[in-house]
Amino acid sequence: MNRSTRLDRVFYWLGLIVIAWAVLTFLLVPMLAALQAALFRHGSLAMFDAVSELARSRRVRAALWNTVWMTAATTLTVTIVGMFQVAVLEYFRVPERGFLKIAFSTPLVFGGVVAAAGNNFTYGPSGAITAALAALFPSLPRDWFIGWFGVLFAHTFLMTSFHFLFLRAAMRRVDYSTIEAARSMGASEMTILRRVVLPVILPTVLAVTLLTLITAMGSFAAPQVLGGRDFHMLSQMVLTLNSLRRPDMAALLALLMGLVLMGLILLSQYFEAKGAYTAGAKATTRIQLRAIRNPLARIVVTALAYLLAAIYLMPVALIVLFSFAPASSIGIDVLPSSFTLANYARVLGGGAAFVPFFNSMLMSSIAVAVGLAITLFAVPIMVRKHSWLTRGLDICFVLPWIIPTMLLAVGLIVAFDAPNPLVGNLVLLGSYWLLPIGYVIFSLPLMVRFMRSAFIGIDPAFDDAARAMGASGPYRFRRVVLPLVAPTAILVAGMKFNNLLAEYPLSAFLYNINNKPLPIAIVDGAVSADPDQAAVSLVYVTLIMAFSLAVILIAERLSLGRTPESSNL
Amino acid sequence: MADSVLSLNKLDVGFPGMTVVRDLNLDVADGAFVSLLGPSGSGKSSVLRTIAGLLPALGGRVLLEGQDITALPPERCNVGIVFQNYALFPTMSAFENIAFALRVAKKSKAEVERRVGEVAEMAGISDQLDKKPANMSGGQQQRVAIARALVTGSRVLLFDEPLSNLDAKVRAAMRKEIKRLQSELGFTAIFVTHDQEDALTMSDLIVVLNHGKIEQIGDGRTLYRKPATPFICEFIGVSNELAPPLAARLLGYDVKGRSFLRHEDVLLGAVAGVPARVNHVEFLGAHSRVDLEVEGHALSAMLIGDQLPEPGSTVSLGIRPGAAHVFQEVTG
Ligand SMILES: Nc1ncnc2c1ncn2[C@@H]1O[C@H](COP(=O)(O)OP(=O)(O)O)[C@@H](O)[C@H]1O
Ligand SMILES: [Mg+2]
Repeated sequence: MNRSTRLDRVFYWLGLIVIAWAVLTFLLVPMLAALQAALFRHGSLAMFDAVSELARSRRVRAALWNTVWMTAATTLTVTIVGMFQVAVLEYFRVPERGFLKIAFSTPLVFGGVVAAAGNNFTYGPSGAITAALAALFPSLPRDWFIGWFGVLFAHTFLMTSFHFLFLRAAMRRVDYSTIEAARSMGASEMTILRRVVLPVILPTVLAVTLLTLITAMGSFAAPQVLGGRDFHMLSQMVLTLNSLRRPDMAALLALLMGLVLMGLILLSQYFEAKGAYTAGAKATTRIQLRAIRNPLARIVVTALAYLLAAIYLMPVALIVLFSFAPASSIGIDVLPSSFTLANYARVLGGGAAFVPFFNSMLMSSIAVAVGLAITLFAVPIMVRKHSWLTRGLDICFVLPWIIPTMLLAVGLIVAFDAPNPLVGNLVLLGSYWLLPIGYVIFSLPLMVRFMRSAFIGIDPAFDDAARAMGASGPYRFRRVVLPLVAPTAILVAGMKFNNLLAEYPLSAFLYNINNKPLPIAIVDGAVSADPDQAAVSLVYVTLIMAFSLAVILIAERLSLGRTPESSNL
Repeated sequence: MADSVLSLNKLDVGFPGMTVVRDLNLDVADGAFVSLLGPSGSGKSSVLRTIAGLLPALGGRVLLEGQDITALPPERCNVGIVFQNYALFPTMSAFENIAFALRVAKKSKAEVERRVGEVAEMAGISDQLDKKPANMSGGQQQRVAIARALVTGSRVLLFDEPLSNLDAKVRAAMRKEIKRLQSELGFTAIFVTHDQEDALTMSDLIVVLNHGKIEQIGDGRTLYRKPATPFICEFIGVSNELAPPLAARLLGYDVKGRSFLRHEDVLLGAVAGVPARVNHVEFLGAHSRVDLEVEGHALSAMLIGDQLPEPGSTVSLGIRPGAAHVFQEVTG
């Protein structure tokens, strides 16, 4: 018994040391390296020089202006569309609510790179809608959608997932008896909405608006694919500066963006906490849907709801359809005239088209497995022991949530573009491993958050019971604890795997020819004029959507719900 | 005591820097049903966990059949525990739950099957062994929990408030069930509860804990009829505390200290009683409670039957002779 417990202790400390090394090497050092690159030049603080150098660049100024107005415009349009969705789903009675709900939930599987590419395949130069429009109006340029309009359009319909998830939930927390009370006192519908409903959901509205703002500001894949040659946003500027071998400028710009984002995240958390507080958890009478009395208003609302549903469903339907179409029909046909499995055969058959798919599968699997191993080892310790060490670890694990992904990416680049003693003097930049390492760091916050609540939820009596029957620590973990947290672990692994398949920012910064991942290939295919490449991209996108859908359905089965992160758009 | 199967000897229970229960002495006879009764937070679970070896004793000794088990690891203490909500592992079948300790001890497959089969047979759950706990009724879960605690041959079972989350009807059925299993299987039970009804209905002996001390040890009747402290008097049954002037008036002598009178010991319509005003009558089914005012002091009585006084009327109040519990202060 003594020998085995001693072995356990060795294992325990070894694990902690490895995790501490990993956190130091791949999170803290890169962050410090990014800060150093951004703020110091030749060993002295030179932030203002750098800022003014940035400001002198015309392209940076244009991107800044584009980002500012695009963020504002997006926030406005998304709020309108999102509020309308919530009203249609949770307040007014509109026929076929179930169908609308499915349509409005598509951004959950159709976000980030996938959505950007999807919109391009629908409205872009080789899109089916463009083909249809060109048949009607021969003078229409094929790239009518490309530019600020395409970006705004994609943002507007794809960033409503926060409304769909959070604002609907808030609406359901409105106590219907308060509405009935107001009605019995003679309040009009407008008064009820303004004085009774709005105050309850207002904190959530603010939080959701801020989340939209954050997502719009950091938008990356959408302008990359849909912005064309003339419309650029700041995220793209960071990537450009980095590829121009100015990591210091890239880091500075990412840092400045990060500061603004962090402020916004903190603000949104403040509103979120307030929302939870005012809404409370008390059981209430669920809100009952209102019929719209005015017939004209009813028809207009219903028609708009269905138009919106069509906008959501059409790209998805077209992508799935055209993924089965011969490459020659892409950009020519409005609907494919024949179907084939040739595109799938090319992707899954092991040729060049298979490589990005394989790379992403492999790197995401590795990242998820490593992330899960770290989480399963560290979280039970963090839950059980409260010391400065565990608290520090806890903060480190959620840091990547607050730090913008691009800053992390630039940090990893500047920390590992030369031999680094922390990794045995290897140069990781340009190797296979920097991207999967980034994936792990990027995966930890969500994994830690979910697994933490799974571990906290375990009745301590289980542990006592197993201990009373003589089970050792590792045995208890394997036989009692692990089966209890397994559903959450499977779910969170699926969600993260799914995320990583379409992860754009880290991938764009850290990939190289040895490990070109799916999201990069999707963007390449989307902007390429070669129909064969486009066809392959369509298959990638369809596969990712199918996988997302499967994960969501499993999550629903396990009744854990899905928390969206700020998407990778 | 020669036939005591479990003895606690000057046992100190608690956590480093915080003693929860001090100097606990108790002898439990073989086959007895002993309850540890006390308000929540009084340290009952801590005592139980110390006996089971889950919590190191701060001082004193635990003897099981004469052998000192104070410092032994839990699996060698050879006492079984039935936890609150049973703590059956939800991911394992009833069979695997019961077999857990045997698997930990690396018993052979044949022995595991034989012993689980035996104990399941005794507990009457042979046909339930494939089910997961979530698919079993509360009664079946309780039997699995008891079978799991007995499978290693433990003769002493510790119960930590297994009934506390059940509603009244189910609770009564579970009590009967535990007693039946005890008499059939012949184990010794230490039963922790904060519910006086659990303790009164099931126990041969009740140990009342309060603020880390034993208030009284005795059978239910003794605790009810001869409470050793004011705490027992208030904790078990429902009593009126008599203000000193009222006590003097009703008892006929001066009381220095505290005195109590149970609701059922207040008599109405007594010959030569004290006049009392009826403030409020509450019908509770089997009995009714009458709230009275006697010379400015409130007092409640319990009546059986339907002949109840009218609120606002005046009745003549007496007490059952010798029924008051008086705790005279010894010092002045
Ligand atoms: N792990 C612990 N560490 C420190 N104090 C504890 C711990 N568990 C319980 N206590 C304290 O010990 C006292 C007795 O707790 P417990 O034995 O659970 O009481 P009971 O079972 O009678 O409700 C309580 O005051 C409680 O706060
Ligand atoms: Mg307890």
